[in-house]
Amino acid sequence: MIETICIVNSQVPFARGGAEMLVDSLAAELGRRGFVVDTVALPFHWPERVDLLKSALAWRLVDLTAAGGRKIDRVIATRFPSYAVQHPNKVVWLVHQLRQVYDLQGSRYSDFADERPRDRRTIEMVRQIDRRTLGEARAIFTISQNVAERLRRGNGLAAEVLYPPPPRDGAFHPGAFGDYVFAVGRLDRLKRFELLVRALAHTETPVRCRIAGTGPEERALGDLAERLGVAGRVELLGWVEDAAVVDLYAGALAVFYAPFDEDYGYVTVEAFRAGKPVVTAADSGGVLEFVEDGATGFVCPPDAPREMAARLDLLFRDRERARALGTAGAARVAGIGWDRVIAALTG
Amino acid sequence: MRLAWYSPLPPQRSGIADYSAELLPALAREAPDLAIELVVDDGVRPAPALAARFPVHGARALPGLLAAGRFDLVLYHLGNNRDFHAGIYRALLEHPGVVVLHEVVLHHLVRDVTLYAGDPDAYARELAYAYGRTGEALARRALATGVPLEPWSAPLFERVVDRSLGVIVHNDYVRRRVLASRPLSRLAVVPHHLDLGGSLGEASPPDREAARDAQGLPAGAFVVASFGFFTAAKRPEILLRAFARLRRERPEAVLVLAGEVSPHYDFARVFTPDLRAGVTITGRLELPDFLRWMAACDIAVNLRHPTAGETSGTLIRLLGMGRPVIVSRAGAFAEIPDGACAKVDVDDSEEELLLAYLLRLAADPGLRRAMGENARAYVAAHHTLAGSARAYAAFLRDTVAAKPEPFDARPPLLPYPEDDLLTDLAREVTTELVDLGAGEADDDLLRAVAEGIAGLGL
Repeated sequence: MIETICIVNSQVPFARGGAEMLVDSLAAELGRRGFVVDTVALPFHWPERVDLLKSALAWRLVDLTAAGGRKIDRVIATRFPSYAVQHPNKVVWLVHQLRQVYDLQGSRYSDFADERPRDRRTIEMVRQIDRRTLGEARAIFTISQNVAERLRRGNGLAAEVLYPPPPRDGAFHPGAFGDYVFAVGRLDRLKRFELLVRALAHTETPVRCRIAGTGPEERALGDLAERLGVAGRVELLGWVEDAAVVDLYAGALAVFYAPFDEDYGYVTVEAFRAGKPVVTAADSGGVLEFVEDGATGFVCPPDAPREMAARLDLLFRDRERARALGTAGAARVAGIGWDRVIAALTG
Repeated sequence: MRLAWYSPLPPQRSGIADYSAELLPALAREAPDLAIELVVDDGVRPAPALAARFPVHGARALPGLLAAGRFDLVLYHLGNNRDFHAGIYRALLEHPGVVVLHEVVLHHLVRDVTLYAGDPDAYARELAYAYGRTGEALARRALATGVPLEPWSAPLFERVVDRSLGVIVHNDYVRRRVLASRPLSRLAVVPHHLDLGGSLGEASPPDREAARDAQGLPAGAFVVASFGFFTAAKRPEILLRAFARLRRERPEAVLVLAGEVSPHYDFARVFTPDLRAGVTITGRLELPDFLRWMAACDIAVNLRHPTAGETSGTLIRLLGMGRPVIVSRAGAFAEIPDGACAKVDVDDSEEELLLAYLLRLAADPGLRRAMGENARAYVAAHHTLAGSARAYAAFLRDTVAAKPEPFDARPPLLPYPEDDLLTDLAREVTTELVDLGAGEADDDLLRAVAEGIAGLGL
């Protein structure tokens, strides 16, 4: 009998990121394999602490056991608080929890402070919601070892890792090793593109960078490049079409990708699919599950621009080394594919 | 105490202006410690009798006078007519003081100074302030559809009360209505006074026979009368039908509608030819004529539903003149003691009961006299000008002594610890449920929500 599956996702209206792409890809791949599938999203917006609880409660009150006379056999939940939904056959493919109350707490990326009673209570309650509603799932998968480790640390729950293939998987291909380091993504603070700009200020070779994407940090990046005197070698491309992104990967010398404690990071897999080495930072989270220093790319301390500059110079001077690292990277991610993901999620 | 008195005043044509003009001299007499100065809308020149006795300021001068410490307190008289109260309303919001809430439904006034002044968002904000999201939703729907809101269900007195240092109302009905929304209000009930002494310059009320002669009534006529400005809320339809039936048994009965019919009221639909026999509609009357009709009638009928909680000055006057009166058992009217008037329920029996009272009273002059005497005694005891003045003075003195601050009494009234997010959640979810129309009886829904919260592990 054909199985009916509902994918649930909490969504920030007008924002499309990795989680939305993952849900779209998953729905398409399930459909391709004959499942009857649909996605359900509720908006996620929490101007006040209590709105986090309200969002979780909203999901809790949604009945997804059946719809329009059709029984829903399985629910696949993705991220906080969509996994609060109730279903006898709830499977979680965890993209991320509310990171502000876990790994980001105490960093500059979270404004939750333990010394504020209201914050402390919110943290407790969100963690309690996670323990209860993730704990009741029939199976928990995560999109990376990093996410699985956080879940273990934060909630004492074990999970199996299922790496999602990037969208447009199959489009990426190797090409010439040009004179630029490519970087792509939303230009926000967590992605730390400024580390690349700072490194360029210390390179000896004329290596340059091309950064694709838009976001709140766009202007600050441009200003920083001006201030460091590297504006001529920092190209902010803005929004770039998918096909052009593929070409930018193909022609790159290497790919820079050093977000702070990334959950997973499609960019790593895309770079390796294109046979490019990845330069990252030692605190970049899920990226480090694939980038091994000196084997598939370079891992630099996040606060050592000279060190990163030296690695960029090395790759610029030795294109064969770059090619070898990239090829090793491609082998590292060769096992990532939808067949395995779908089999696990529907098993 | 230095008191600013901001009110419409004669020659402005308003019941509240007359009320103020009657009360001011009495207050000055009863409470010599009050140094009263008048504040009026700019351009208004109070009647010479008042202007000679009290200093007068235009409203524009009020902020400067307050800043200079000229007054200990401002007293604001609020009613619904924008021509007389828009400025008072704005001044109160700016400079909190004691407010006399002449009626509890201020919706018309608030709508006039927001929506009809071209600011629909302000109208929605006022409804949201008073009634939360439900209020805002009501406003948005009214704005979108063009169907006006029913003012009685959204009286909009809340901000006025929140911005006041004390509230004076005329009856217990309004007191209870205000306290239901704002339980911590400083509030005093000062019954609407009756001034038979003639501070408006009227002669003492004419006697019955002279009045009947003056109005050209036949000697044996049995006169039923209703007074005021006729809208649907005065229930002329009920009165006309009951009267037509009365007349079948008492052909000498006549009905006088003493006053003007509202141009917004489709009276022609009600006043069908079969109901016209013996009925006179006077149209707008000057006060002496109005009083003559009061003196001339055998029974006065003063029905009212729905009610904005106002105490009817006309009704108090009728009672004070010793007229037997039939009223609706609604709002403030229900507070008049049973022996002093007859009360008609506002339900299916309204017309039958009214007819029964009319027949009974028509047949029994002794009963009419007794009711009238009770009414006169009641008003003499509870609605004197001096009594009003003393009650005002006491409340104003208390207010100054208490040094109250405006108090935003919007819920929640009970503070709870800031880290009690579960109460936050319960409160917000409850608000949503109430907005959706849920109540205590909706066990299944409430259970589902409770289970949802429990299911989150909270």
